[in-house]
Amino acid sequence: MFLKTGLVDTASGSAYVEADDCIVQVSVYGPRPIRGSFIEKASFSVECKFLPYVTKVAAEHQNTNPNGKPGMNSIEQRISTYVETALLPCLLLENYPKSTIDIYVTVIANKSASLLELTNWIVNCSSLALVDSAIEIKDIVTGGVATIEDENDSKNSQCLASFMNLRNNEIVGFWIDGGQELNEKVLTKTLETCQERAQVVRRNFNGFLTT
Amino acid sequence: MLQLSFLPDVLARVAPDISLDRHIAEGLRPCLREFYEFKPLKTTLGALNTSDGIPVVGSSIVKSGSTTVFCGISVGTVERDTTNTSKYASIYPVVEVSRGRSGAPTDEEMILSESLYELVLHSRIIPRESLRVTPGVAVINDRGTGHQSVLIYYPDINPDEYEILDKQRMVNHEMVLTAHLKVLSRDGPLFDICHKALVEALLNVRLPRMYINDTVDIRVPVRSRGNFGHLNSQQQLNIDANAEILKPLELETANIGLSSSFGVVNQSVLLAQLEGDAEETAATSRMNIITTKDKLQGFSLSGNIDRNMIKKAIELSQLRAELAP
Repeated sequence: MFLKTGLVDTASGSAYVEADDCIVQVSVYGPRPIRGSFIEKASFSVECKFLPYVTKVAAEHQNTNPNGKPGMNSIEQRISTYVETALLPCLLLENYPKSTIDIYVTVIANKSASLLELTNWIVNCSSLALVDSAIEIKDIVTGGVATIEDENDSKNSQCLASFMNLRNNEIVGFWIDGGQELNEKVLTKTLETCQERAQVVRRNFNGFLTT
Repeated sequence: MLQLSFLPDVLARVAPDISLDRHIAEGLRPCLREFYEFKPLKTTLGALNTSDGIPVVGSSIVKSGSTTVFCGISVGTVERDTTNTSKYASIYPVVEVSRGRSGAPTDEEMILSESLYELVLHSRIIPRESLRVTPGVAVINDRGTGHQSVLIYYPDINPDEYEILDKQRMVNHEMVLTAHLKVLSRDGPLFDICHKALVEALLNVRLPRMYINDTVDIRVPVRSRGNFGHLNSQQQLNIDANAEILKPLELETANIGLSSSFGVVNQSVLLAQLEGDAEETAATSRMNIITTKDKLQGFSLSGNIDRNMIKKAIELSQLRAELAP
């Protein structure tokens, strides 16, 4: 894993993560003033874009011109929504009245990561970018992906959960992909695995941010 | 009388023009470069060739100062336009500058894309012939055993086999190159770095081979077949995923130039590669020179610039092109 923050000078904060062959870049813009009427809390938005030649994960959803500038397709929309949901609890939006905080995610390359793994890296990378932007947050959100294996079935489900490790491991995002039946025992075990992995990521981030 | 004084970074923000003037008077620029000093360029090739769906045939990442450009080139096919007699082709670039806003492309992005297209076309870098598709023919060979294998014969690799095949189909096609450039951290005019990224990616291009399907068995002499009715009517060109037989794109490398941009501030000071808002606002006259070490490939000018300054700029650009790796 390779991490770098502060790559983009024009943004308030940015982070760049390479994990295997998955490359994600996140820029945070804000708090920026808004035009128009007063709002008490900052508004928060996430926009995720794949570069047009990133086809893994996006392939089945992308039917636009490969080199055009399309709006967000459904998969980008889903990732954006997840990232937004996961990061919202960590932000102190009431500290930024009459402003917006916008996160722009660019997926630069991805060959082997599944949708959930990719989303996980995007969440992790966005957290780093938020730290770099010096926007006030309650905790750094990190996540982990666990695969639920079924002995009888070859179709494995994947589970992504994002946590705030220093706030009692509060779960801030949760996404299961796959058609597997779940019971309490499996789910507990899965969440534990996710949490362990999230903590590993968090430890790495702590090391990165303090050196 | 109270005199107002500011720290340099505060002054640069509240009165960029005064700050710039003072810097220039000191013989320095706000970015601490010399007047004629260009930013170093750092190139990485092929890093984006990672997807398996849409073929990225060439890519480059170019860094200059804090600006980064990611450029990926992909390929498609079109029927040859017989009315177009030009010997040279171009590439269709789309430039996207990340600026924390979404929506329609800005003027700058559209102008950049268009001028990159024009420049590649008119500097005669890509010969049309090198984009021509001579499709191979895929033959299903079951040798009567029910175990099928597909072999693709190409004119240059298997000339003997190719000779007896029906190859008069899909020969009027050529490839089109499209590029996507993503710019991060813009801090000045972008033409130089985008041009560099595009050219480097072009040099990195390895074109895939294309083939058509033949529906007949190889043992049937193709020329004696009278009936064409059983041929696959849905003819299409397929891309051969075999990475071992990729062909480099043949470019006229001697025609590849290097772009250098200049701006003139205060009517008298020539600056290489403007950087920062203050310089961009102050420089009302600008030049863009694309040159190889001995040939001028492109020149654009806006505003009025003194003849000696133009001369100086051209000299500098040529020197830069000569020294460039």
